[in-house]
Amino acid sequence: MSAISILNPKAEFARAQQALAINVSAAKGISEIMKSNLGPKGTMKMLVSGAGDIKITKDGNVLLHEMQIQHPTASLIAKASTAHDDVVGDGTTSIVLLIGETMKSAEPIISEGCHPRVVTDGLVVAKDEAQKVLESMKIPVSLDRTFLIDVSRTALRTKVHQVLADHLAAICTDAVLNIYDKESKSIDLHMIEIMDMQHRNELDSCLVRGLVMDHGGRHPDMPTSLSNCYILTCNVSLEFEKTEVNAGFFYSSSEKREALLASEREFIDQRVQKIIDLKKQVCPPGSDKNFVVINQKGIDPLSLDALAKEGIMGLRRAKRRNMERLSLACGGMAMNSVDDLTPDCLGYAANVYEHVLGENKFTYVEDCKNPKSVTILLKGPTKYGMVQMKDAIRDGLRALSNSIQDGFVVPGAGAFELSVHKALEKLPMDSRSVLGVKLFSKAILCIPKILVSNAGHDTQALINRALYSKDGEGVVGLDLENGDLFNPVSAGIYDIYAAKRQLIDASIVVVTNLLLTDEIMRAGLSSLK
Amino acid sequence: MGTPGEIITFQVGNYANFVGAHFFNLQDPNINPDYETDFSHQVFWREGRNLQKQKVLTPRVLMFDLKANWGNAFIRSSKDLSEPSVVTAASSYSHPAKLNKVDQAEKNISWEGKVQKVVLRNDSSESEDDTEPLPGTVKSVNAVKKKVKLGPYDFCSWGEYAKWRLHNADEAAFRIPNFMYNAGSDELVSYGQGLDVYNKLHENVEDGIRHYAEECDHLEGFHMLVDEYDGFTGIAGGIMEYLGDEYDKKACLGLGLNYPFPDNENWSKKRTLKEYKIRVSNTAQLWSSFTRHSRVFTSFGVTDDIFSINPCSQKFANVVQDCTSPYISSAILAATLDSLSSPYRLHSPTFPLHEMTSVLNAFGHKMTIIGSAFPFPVGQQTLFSALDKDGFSSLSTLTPNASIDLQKSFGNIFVMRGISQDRVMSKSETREYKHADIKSVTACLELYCQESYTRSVHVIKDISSSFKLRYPFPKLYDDTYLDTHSTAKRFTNPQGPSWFLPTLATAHNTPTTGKVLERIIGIIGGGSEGSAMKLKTFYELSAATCNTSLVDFEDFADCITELCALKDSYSSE
Ligand SMILES: Nc1ncnc2c1ncn2[C@@H]1O[C@H](COP(=O)(O)OP(=O)(O)OP(=O)(O)O)[C@@H](O)[C@H]1O
Ligand SMILES: [Mg+2]
Repeated sequence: MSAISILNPKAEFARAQQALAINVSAAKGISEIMKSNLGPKGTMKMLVSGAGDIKITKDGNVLLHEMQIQHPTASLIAKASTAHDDVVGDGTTSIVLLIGETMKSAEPIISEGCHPRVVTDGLVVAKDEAQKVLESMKIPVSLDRTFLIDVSRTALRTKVHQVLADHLAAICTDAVLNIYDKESKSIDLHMIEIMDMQHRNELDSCLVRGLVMDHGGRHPDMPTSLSNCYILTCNVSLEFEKTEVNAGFFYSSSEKREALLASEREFIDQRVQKIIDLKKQVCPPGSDKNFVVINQKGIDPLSLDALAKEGIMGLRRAKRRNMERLSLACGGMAMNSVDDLTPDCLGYAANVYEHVLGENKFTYVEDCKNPKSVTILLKGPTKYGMVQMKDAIRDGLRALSNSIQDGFVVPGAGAFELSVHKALEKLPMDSRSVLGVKLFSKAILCIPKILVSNAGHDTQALINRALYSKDGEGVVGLDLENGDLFNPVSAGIYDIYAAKRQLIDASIVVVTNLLLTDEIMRAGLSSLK
Repeated sequence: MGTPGEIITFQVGNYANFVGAHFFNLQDPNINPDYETDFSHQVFWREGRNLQKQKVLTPRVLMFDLKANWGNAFIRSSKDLSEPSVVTAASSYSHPAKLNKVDQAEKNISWEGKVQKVVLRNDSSESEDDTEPLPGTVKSVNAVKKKVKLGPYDFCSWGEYAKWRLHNADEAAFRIPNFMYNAGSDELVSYGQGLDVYNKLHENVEDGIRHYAEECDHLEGFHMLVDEYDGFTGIAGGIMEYLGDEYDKKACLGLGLNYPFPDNENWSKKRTLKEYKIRVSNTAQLWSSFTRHSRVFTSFGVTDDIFSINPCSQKFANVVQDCTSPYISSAILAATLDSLSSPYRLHSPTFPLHEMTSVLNAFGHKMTIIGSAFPFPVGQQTLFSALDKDGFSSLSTLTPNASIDLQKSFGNIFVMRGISQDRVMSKSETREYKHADIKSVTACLELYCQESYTRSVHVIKDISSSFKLRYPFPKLYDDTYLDTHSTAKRFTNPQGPSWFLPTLATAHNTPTTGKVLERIIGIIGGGSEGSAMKLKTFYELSAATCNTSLVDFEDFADCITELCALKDSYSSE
């Protein structure tokens, strides 16, 4: 009987063998689910929510978030592998698989009576060696467009079909190169807006060097397409708002109230006039210049009317985030008042036009001179397809920003895992760590094996060739198209350095914790906090 | 002045959605076209076109509820209405009795040992609530006439009786999955958790608000319906702060809703001291957020005493249904809100929302009390004699823990509906009392108020159209009572007759509100005689429910200080 049952007779518990069995089965279970999704040839999962929503995905991170995982151990694994998603955002599937495989091969060893400590000590040795292999394999990143396209294409091809992946890879790379800040060597992915438009075909997705806003003018006489535009971005109310001060309760006479309302209107009209004055100043009659106002606050019909009469395009209630992005894309600055407007406040875009799609209007602010903020416009006929593309783009962008910031990438297509295996096999070791090292060296092969089997080739034959034959010397990867071996670098397949690091670290930490667990108890606490 | 200003509604929380579902059912312009009523649909509804270019009216609303509470409600938008088989009925899991009726295919997908049930329904013959199909829906020929469902427990989710659609469910319906706040627990319990959820959602919420606002030419303000006892308060807190930032000139009416706290298993679990403390802390934090960012707010519900560990529901004379059912109690609240909002829903509103709020929050009195006489029992008498005999004794308060003390109040708003000119005074009364000048409802009420309650300012609004009680609004009274008090009865509805009732809805700027605030401050241990220890226990209990602490002790103490300042504004007079 367990000690806990004396303290709390209601407690559920599982000891030694049983605890291990629970952890192993959870780890196996979750990796079994994700197995088929790994790599460019992996298959998809269709998630159906209680309400009947459908999501089709093969992204490990998305899957783990959407599945309602109930098993505590499985949920621990899920949390550990998605923990770094905000930073790295890749390699989740691999982590889950590696944990599953390691646990699976550890089980018989421990069942035979070997103390888990011995195994985990060996794992630490294996980890250090794997780290060394990673360092020796890394390739420095250059800011060359074709190279970066390769990097993002590798990531994207594991998420969407090839043709689309290649199309999106170019878009992602151009977007990142546009916003890359050469001085501070930093990338702010927030400066890339992803917009979706349910329209046409996936391959019509494109990069807009500027902004796309999801609203348009609200006046029938307003221009819908202008070129050579000055852009005024402001956060100034251009609508007649009846503030509480002028409400009836406080005013003895209705004339007094009317007078107050009239002066309020006057006040708004003056603001509009100031904008019109500026327009007249920068777009003298006969010039080919035009004027666009993008306002974060409201613009009421009377003000819109005044603007339309001057041929000004006016947009109201712009997204707060877009205000900042507008000044980055077009130049100029966002104004909080119209009192001291000067031409310096204005931005510039070569084309501003409206696009109507059913009930929705979109406004493009395009061809800015030197945009520090760009928009990826995703198009597609179905909603779930777009969600899938969005997740993929996110991965692609993250791959680029990670590799630029790390400064390194690693050859992909299983090359890293194969090398780790070879290195561990050759590693001289003492009798204590041998079990752990051997175990890990075998477990890490699961990634290349699954990659091959997902592609429908003969796993054993290809892996053996890679490991033991002459073709397998040097850096060698798995050519999943032809069921052959190749050099991933010459094929342009790169993995993210940080993701591989994470793969080794996270999986060993989790496995160590799980193996060293000798008792699981559920003591009726609703939360362990 | 003339044009009605648009209002955006927020329904934050399960009970808020119960109330909102009724509220929009009552106004539905698809049943009450503008030319038939005095009301303009423009205030609460947006006009759009579906793919067939037909006009579609949908409420301007943003809804928040836990994923589990949605059932199949609103999985489609009005945009998709053209598709022939619209899924309308809500999920039937919780309703074993219905299971065998529904033609369904069940599939069990095993995920991690957990059986997930996917219920696919072939529903076109079973769309049970669509008696008036919306434009574009194909009404099935073999729709069987069903037993009318109007009992308190016939609807266990709001999605089952909400007859309206959303314009864009992706943007306006926030289904909150449990992993977002606390995997492992199915409920959103504390303000801090709610704020956490809001922070994860805020971009989408802001976009939703912005899209509605961008379409409005004369945005007037917001109705904020929030459950004031659970973690949805935190979501509302987040939204309120954003509104305060971005829409500071717009009027926001805050309604903190109270669940009727039925005596069932689910709720008895919650009547522990710990749950109670978290509940009161949530309420306090919501109220302080309202104090900061709304024009005026109230606590709204049929609950008797929200500061008791064992709250129970108020009894309403004549109501024959069980008021602890959320479906019934939310109907009472929605009816009151429907009447109270009617002056600003007119085609040419005489009393827009911002004016109403400025009457109610004069002297900084941001918390108001709402009362209702539903129906206003004139029976066969004239308004004059009814007032003369009973005054406002039929008025009951819908703000828990507050009484309506008209003698003391500073300002009152009375919205009287459905009493026609000729019912104001009879010829003999005019002669007897020598009040020949009294020709209208307004004049009659004005006279009564001025004579009885000399110290306060009264704003009286008279709306000629009555309240229509009809399916799926519950039949709260028995037939005799309804027949006595209705001004008309019609049999246009296959599910039963509609009654036209006169109603009175009121809101008060009154010092009794100070008492409510005093009570909550006293319980939590704030204010000058408060105890920091007590305050700390309240804080720690709710903080312990959150994974990340977004509300620190200082913030919490500030909330209470805010409420103290509000309370003091009432006692200074
Ligand atoms: N063209 C390719 N040929 C062979 N292997 C590839 C190719 N592209 C990627 N891989 C391999 O596929 C694996 C990555 O697969 P995938 O992106 O599906 O999973 P993941 O990165 O572990 O998880 P996540 O779902 O988070 O992206 C890496 O091991 C990578 O080396
Ligand atoms: Mg990947």
